[in-house]
Amino acid sequence: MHSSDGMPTKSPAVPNTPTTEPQTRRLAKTGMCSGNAATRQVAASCFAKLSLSLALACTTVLSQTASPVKPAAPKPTGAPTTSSAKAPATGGNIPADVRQDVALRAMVDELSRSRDLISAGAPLYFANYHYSKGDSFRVSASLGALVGKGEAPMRVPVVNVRVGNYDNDDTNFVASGMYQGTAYNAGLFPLDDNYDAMRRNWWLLTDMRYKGAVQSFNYKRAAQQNVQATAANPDFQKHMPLRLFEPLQVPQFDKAKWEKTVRSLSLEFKRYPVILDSSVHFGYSRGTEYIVNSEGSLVRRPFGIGYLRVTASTLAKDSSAIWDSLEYLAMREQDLPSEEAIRRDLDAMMQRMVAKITAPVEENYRGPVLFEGQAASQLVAQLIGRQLWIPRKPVMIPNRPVNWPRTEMEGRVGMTVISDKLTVRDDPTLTTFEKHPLIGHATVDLEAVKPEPLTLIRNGKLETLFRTRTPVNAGEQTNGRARLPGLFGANRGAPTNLIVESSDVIAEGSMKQALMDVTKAAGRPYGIVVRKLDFPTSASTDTIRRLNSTSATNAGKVRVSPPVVAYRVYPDGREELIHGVNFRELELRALRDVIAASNQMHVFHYLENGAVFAQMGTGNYVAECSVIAPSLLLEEVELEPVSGDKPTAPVVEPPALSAAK
Amino acid sequence: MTWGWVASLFVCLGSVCPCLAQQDDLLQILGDELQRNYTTLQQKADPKPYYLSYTVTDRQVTVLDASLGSIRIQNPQRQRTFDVSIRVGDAQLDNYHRVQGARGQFTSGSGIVWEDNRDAIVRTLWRDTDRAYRAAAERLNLIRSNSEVRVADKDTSPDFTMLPPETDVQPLATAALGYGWDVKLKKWSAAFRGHEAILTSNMTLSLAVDNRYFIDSAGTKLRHGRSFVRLDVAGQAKAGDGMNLMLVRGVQGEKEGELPADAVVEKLVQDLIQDLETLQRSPTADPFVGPAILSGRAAAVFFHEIFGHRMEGHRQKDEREGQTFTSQVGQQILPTFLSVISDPTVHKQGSQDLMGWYAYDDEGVRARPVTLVENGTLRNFLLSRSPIEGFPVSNGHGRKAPGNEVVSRQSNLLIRASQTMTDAQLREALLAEVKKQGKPYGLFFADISGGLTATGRAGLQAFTVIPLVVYRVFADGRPDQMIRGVDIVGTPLTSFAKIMAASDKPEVFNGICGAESGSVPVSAVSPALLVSEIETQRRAKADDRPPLLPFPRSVGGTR
Repeated sequence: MHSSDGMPTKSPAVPNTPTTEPQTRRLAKTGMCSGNAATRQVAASCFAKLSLSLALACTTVLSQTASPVKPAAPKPTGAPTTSSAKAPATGGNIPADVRQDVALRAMVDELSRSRDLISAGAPLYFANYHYSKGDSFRVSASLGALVGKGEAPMRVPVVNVRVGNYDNDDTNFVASGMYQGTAYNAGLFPLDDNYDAMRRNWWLLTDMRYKGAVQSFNYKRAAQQNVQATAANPDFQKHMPLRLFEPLQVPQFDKAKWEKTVRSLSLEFKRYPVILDSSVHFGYSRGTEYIVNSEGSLVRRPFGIGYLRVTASTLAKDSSAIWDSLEYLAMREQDLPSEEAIRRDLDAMMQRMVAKITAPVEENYRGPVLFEGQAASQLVAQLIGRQLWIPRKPVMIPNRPVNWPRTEMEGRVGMTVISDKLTVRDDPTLTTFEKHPLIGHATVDLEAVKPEPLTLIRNGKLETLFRTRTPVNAGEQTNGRARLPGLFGANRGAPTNLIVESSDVIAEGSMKQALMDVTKAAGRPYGIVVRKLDFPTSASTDTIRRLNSTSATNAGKVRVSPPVVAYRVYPDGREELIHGVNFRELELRALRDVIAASNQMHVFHYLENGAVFAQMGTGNYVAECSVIAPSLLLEEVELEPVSGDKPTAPVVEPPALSAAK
Repeated sequence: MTWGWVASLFVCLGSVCPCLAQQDDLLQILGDELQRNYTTLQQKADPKPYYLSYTVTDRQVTVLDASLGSIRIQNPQRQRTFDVSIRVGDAQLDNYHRVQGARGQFTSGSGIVWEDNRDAIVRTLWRDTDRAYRAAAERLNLIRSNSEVRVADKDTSPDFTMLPPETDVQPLATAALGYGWDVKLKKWSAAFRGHEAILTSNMTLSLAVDNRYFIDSAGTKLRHGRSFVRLDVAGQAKAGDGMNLMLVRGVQGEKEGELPADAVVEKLVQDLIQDLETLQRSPTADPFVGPAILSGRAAAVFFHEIFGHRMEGHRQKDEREGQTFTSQVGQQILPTFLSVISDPTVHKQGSQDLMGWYAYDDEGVRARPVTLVENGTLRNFLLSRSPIEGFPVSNGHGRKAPGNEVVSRQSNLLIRASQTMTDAQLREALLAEVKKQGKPYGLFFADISGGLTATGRAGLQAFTVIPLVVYRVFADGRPDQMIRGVDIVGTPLTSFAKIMAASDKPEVFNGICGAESGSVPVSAVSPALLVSEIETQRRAKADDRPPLLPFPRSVGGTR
């Protein structure tokens, strides 16, 4: 059904997704960039001293006594590119270039007016503006020809307001966030930091958000009327204001070079005409992130993420699909692998795919499985990383309960959840691990809280979880892991640099022997080694569909992607490539029986967007995560053949390619 | 089914191309791969295809958008889309046959590489042909087995018409935006500064260059293209009672040089600001039944919605459709002084550009003018290659957006009057009718944004158009009064009977029409019309209050 409304642009109710922006702009909105962060956490120092003049910063609850909003001195167009956190000069502890940043000033000036948003019984008590300003680029090629190329500026405003008070506000209610009023076309921001235009946009976005929040709050209170109050658990936690101004070293990428690389890499597939579909993509997204909130937090920092991705597919002899991919993520150009290294990986991938065309389909298997190299980190990312967060159960509408899934970690703090050999930490302070650059380095979360290193699981026992300012249980404090927007006005947790360590390790080179030993001891004909999973961020549509359908029927359980590179390992050490298999009910408990862990750690990066199909570029927000884990030999894992009908072979043979150069 | 017509061109179209490297001839690549697939499928497949066509749409779009003196969007983009159409069975009954209104979808509109690189392109063509063939064969089997238990269709005309091949390789359409537009857009959009009642505003310049390549198994080989550039200005306000008010005005041409002089654009902006501010303070409309004048633009939308969509051939055959006019061929359906022509071959109406033109439709059929209504009498329908009873051959109106399947669509809908009067005479005639009916006032619909119509049998056979600027024209000679919140409502046949007179000045409404086969550019041209009776209702309005905080006035130096 179609309708027309003559609206020149359709601005959605949620203001942070201007419809004219391509998907690529939405990548890495919450970039958590590395760099020598000049972090300054200022307790409760006051904005009023500054020309930014956010008088309300001193107050945690907005008062009715408005202070005059003073303008800053006019500044030349174009924000300064670097900032020195040690340049207080005038205006207290805020560097001069930050004070002169027009984008920030528009945020501060407009946010400071929100104190006046007071409606009967539903006063605004907290407001937060988040703004990402930058640009993105992407280029794709197939068999040497461009499939697409584009670059676009990116301006993403997000307004959050809360009405009521910290204990009970408009969030954490099944109808939170719904807005039925006018959708102003205010999501598109000027590219040139036009102060007046930005003020107008923040004004309208705040108005929409506030009206939506008042609606939700009234609805929530009506719903609470007939429900017995449970243990008091605030909707939101008050927090010390954070001041964080990092030097604006926005990463640079050589677009022309990458276009050439993408074309050239894509041409490699001509050497393997049996691989029927292939493409190579490069892209980046970078810029400056700003956070301003009514508690007095002020953040300005750079972000950036670049990726190179190769995807390829073909048909096996039995017409089943074969898929493989490569993905590299880095925060700076120099951290991406060299073209030569990528070419080596690509060659190995292509050879593997060709071998898979005639490889046997694995039958049902139950026994030891060695997760080697990145496969171990990928397994950990899915089984642990994605589950260390619990959503707050929202207030329901009486007589209209919503099925609220339990997650694996729920109610298990203090219990042993994995092998007592394993300890899991999350360390946002690391920028490298054994010389490997990490992308999970983070200095602030979406709620203007600085994340500190955490031990989540010690010797197998669950100690804590990723927490945000919305406590799941009364008394819990945030640990700065609000890295993605969540449901019903809350944010959700995600890892930064997740590290799995084992107290008992053997040499990496002995892991395969260990697998052979346990296989032999159990009298099995062979064991399985998995070297790569079809990780959701770069998975085939088939895998995503499957993960989606299984997660729908297995509420609360995170499914592990199928292995994309796996071999049978025979007692004599011989390896045989297999394909067309899936894990059967591989859950957290599989990590209780770890036969061996290696002494070598493997780094895997991914972009978490909270969705099951956390595919690159699909979400509005992504959190950059690095997982570091040793190879793991698990005692019992089940594999089963991929189900589903296989298509008949195409009637027409694939077209021949011109001779490879 | 309900169809809409969006007045403005802010639809984010495709993209703009930095390079058009010609490494190989795209038509040759398409032709070779089509032949290879078609021949093999004919030899080995069951059921066999009897027709195969390939289309590539290469679309480059540049969008430049400004608001309050600043650029907000500056995006050149490009998309090159491949569409396949495969027909299995035979022309009498094939996989496209509609079953109880349900249509098949076979093409997936895959992106193909920007360069004419044979290796990369043929892979996509092959894969998509295989995919479309599988879907086609499956659907034909379903149709055949269903026909054993269903009653026969009333219209037994075939599903497709084979046509002799056409060859026409035209030069590639090219167009680009020169320098200085950003400066102009900033300047023009800055005119909204200081107008606090106008909450959001923008000026958008979009240039689209569209080249189409078409090859089929019958030997047709076409390359044709077009460009158009459009400049729109829009403003959004909110009345004190919560009613949202939005005005959009635009100008356009095939190339940037055809856009009007700066002074004309500046006036367009000023007029819009003034109208929007007046509208914001205007009283709301009361439901009204009485005489009215529809301006030429308003009448054009009226005809597009209530008439044009009901002339689309496939609706006459689809038993789920209302089929308002199906059995009225040869009968009078409009006043005898009106004729209606659909003419995709005309590019202009006077000095004004029309958007609905093309050289060939999306089934490779040459565009041609079609007289739908001659002196009030219904003569013809808009036809694709899917014939309908009594009209066995396409008249070049099979259209679609990339990624969709073709249906018959409008192009340039021209309403012509053989008896006309001047605007002043038309106004006199309105006042005479107002007095005759004993009404205090009549209505003048000056500007209109678009509308929607439901043609389905299951729903109400009604239409809604969305007037933007409407005046009360008083019988007692008081000055005209602008009112807001008016919607015209009605049913098609009764509305036609009420047309009394037409003006001598045709006006153009250009827009993007969205329906089953996607969004296509269309135009409608009509003189102003006097109708003896029009029915209006109050527009459903938003109930949220205007922004709670006052307009953010910056204190002191702002930039």
